[in-house]
Amino acid sequence: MWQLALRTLRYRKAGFIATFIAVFLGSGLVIACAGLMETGITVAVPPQRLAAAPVVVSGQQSYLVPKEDPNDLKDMKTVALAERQWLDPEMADELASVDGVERVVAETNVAATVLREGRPVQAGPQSLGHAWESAQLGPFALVEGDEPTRDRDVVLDAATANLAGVKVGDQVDVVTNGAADSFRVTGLVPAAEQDPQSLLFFADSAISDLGEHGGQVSSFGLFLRPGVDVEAFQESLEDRFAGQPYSVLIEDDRGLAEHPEAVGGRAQLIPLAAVFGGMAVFIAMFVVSSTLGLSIQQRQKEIASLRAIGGTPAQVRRMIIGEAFFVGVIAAVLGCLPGIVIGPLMFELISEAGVISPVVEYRQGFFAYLIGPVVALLSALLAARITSSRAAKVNPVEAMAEASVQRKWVTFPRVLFAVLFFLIGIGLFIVTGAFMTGPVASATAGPAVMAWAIGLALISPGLTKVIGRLFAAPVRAAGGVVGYLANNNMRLRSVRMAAAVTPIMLAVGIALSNFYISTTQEAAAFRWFAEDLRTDAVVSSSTGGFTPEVVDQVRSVEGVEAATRYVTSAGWIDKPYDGSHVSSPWPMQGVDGESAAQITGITPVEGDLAGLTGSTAGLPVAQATEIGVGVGDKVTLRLGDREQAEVTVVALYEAKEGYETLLVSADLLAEHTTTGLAQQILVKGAPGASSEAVMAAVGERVASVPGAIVGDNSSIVTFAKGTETQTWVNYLLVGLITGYTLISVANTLVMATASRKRELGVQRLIGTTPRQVMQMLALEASVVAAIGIVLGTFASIATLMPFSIVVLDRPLPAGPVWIFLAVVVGAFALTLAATLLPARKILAVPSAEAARAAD
Amino acid sequence: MFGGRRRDQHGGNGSAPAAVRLDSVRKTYGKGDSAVEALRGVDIALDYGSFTAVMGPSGSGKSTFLQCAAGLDQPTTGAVILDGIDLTGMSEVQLTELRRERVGFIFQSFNLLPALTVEQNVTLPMKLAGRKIDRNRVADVIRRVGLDQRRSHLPGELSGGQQQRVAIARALVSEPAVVFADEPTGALDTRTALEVLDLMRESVLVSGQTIVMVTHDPVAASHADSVIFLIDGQIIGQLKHPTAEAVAERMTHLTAMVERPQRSFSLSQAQGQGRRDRGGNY
Repeated sequence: MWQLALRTLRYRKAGFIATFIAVFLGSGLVIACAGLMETGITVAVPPQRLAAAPVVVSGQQSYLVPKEDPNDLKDMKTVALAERQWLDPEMADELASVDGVERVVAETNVAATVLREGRPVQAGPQSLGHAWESAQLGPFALVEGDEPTRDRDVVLDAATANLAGVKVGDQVDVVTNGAADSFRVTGLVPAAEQDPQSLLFFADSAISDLGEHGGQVSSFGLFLRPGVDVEAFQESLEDRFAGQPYSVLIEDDRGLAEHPEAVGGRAQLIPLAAVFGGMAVFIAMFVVSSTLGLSIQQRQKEIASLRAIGGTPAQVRRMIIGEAFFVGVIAAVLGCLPGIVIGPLMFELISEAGVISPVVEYRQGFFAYLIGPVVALLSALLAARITSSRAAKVNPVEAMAEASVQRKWVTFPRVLFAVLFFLIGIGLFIVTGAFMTGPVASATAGPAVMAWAIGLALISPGLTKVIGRLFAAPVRAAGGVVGYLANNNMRLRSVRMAAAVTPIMLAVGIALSNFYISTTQEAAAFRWFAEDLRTDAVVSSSTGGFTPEVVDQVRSVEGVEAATRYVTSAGWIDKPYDGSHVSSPWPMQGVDGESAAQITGITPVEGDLAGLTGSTAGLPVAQATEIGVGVGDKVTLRLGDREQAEVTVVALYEAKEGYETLLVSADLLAEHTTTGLAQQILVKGAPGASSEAVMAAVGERVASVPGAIVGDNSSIVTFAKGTETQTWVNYLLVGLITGYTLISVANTLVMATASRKRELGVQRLIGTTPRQVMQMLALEASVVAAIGIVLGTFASIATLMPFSIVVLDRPLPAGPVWIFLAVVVGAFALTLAATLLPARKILAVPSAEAARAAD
Repeated sequence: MFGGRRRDQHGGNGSAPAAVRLDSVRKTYGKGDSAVEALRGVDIALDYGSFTAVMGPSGSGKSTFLQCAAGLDQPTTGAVILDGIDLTGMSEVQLTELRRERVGFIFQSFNLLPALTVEQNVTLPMKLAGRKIDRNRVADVIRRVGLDQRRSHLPGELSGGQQQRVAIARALVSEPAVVFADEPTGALDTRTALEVLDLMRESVLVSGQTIVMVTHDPVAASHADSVIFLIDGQIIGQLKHPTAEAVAERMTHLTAMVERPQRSFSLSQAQGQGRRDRGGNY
């Protein structure tokens, strides 16, 4: 049977192109996803600033969220911290006393930006100031000049000095702590090449005054005595720190101390890779199954005679699976080639979108190249196994019949599975609508479209017939005799038509549901997080943040009614116990109490937002009730830098389920962020003042503040930002997946049309002109596309409706109509092109020859 | 000449064993009002080494007769005994295995596997049965059907007559108890049809092959030892040592007989869906 499979493949190469392409690209995509997953699991960040120290000790950038019973240590969730956890300089002595340690060097980070003619310049996404002592941790020996010794001395890296247009001995303006001051350039170090950024080294004695966290340590570099084994040392130091929130990093993990935010990407990257890989596998199976199904249909008579002359059903099955195996093996192995390209490309796009820091090293190793082809091949074989039962059921009597008659498609397993998948779809519908809250609803809404698509695919021959009948009248009206022929084909060959309808439905369903899930999520995030913010202007800092004085300046501008610092972070409520935010921390918004009421648009149910100063917070009323606190009570917060803070509840307010945020005083929240300063100021104009006027007036006032940029309210850094990048990535992935589906669908359609060579030849022999044949096919293709679009739209509605109800309180998803129109037009164009182009080729063959062609 | 096996398994209630025997075979398609009786009690025994043609007008039940006799389908009631084996109650897989051991097929549309060469097509039944391939026998059979020079051609590269000769070789190669032929000359021109019929006749004469052939064509039927006439699912006559003229005459007579009542209840139309009349000489 294997030999027969092989011969068949060589004879019917064209019929297996679609299978080949589906497995080939599927293998490449799964390799890429495995690579992304490997990258997400290892999070390797090669060190730069800390490269010289073999061992680095930093704060543990993830938090083990405690349970209600603090002694219950099972299944605790580890969640990335939103901010850098700072260390106490005193720790240096303890570390220095550890066996094997030769020397301990502390590294400190402060936000510091060089100005050129009042404008900030920087040689990369970061611009940080450090103590000169820590220069020895990286490849930063002086190439020119001397080390900084006085308070206003600075050593720059060559790239930054070049951008600022300064040499050794010049004065340069540097913004630290939100204010500019003049420094003398005493020396230069080499530019940071591997991870471009601006480096400013200050005198060791000066650093503590130059930033909110200048007196603290970001990480310690440890130099070991000769002969000490690094890994063994790491192990012993970890044992010593057991239970304490410190990380001992070696090798490519050391970069995590430079980029603590890199850890945060892991939580997004891993599920993203899994979902995307799963989709690729699903589509590969779908396409393989539908193309094999078509090929079985075309070879019905051949298979029947094989059965008649003594091939058992099992042998026929083996032949079909064998065909898929041979095509699959070659395609899956060759899929490594696109895998080499797709993986790094996807990583680049995903890191550009901000899901994971670009400093993380992309890793796609042997494992990915093993898993991708194996998974792709197995899914092809599984699809073949399922489809082959159709071949095994071919009745040997059909070898005798003159023409192959349409087979009965309603079989018990088909109905059973259709019902099963519809039940899953309905189940997900109910779960999404009734039990999910907020953005996580997409977790159940996403897979729903797959369940609906499979269910619809199983009963598609019947649906094609029914819906086709609805289109019969318009087709007849549009096409006359040609329409009559098309209608006849639709009616008599609904099973065959369904083979073309199914992939279109799949493409339309996946595209619509994914695009609109993204846009709906974005709209919901904006609505619940940012819509309430009544701002006319937003001042953003590109130099590390604003001092409170800048807010006062802005407030005093004429036409400004209120202005507040705006700080965003994330954390937990530690006491009393709060089980509502475990795996994803509470979003926290920091605002100044005196302006909060005017700007946030939140009207408290109880208390007053004006009280948001010092150690205070506001809570959504539902959660406050849940944990049993009211206005005036005290709760303990666990902030983004792991620090605890006891705050007094000053206000309770209503919030949309799933989108709740904690309001914290800006002072408190800013202190516990990485930079220590507010990055934005929100401004509300006096009644009657236009936003433009407010922006202009504020812009004039802050012109002297270095790095201050005035924008409208769309530039608010809200939590919507997170979903915005998510949306972007979704577009990318949906685009890729849709593209993959389209390539496969096009192949299926081309194959379906090519198989009608004989039928079209006969039609021409009896007097149908090539033009009429083309018209007939165009009509048929339009109906096929229309049915696919109707079913695909249904599948996506079943997915989107409950999701929209959950996140937007209405059944209609948010998003532009053009997406729908583009998908519809795309589906039509693709179907017509994939049907008519091969048809033109067939029509070029003399009709008599075509009529004789083997089926 | 074809080295066919002789069967002399005597015994069993005194009567000589038949290559294929049908006992009160009835076959009904559908249920209730739409039920159609394709065979209405067929009793017949065909001897080893006989060449029997089955004739009848469209819808007379010829194809159903062939399907039941060859183990492609099970009768609704009655029994089929093929090469001494009762097919009653056999599963699909058992029937398949029986077919590949004891039955050969020749189809109207040849039904060769287009991806396989002549030689591979002929070898296929042995391979399906998992038997060791007897190269000499395959070569011999291919030589006898006159396709020695074309062993490695694909069916698509052969004429219709040549393809049918490949099919005959495929049917004979495993020395089946019975070869069933379904309109074997239906798709061929007169001259090629005669070549194919001579080849079939030869296998009966030389190696004692048993052949059952369904046909419309009196000329084809005249190559058989005897002709069975089927009308409305019943055997209504037999003709020994037929000539084309005698067969044609009988057919005309029979057809005229059944056509009159047909106008009133139109049975054959219901049965004859999908099948077209082809190339009869009458």
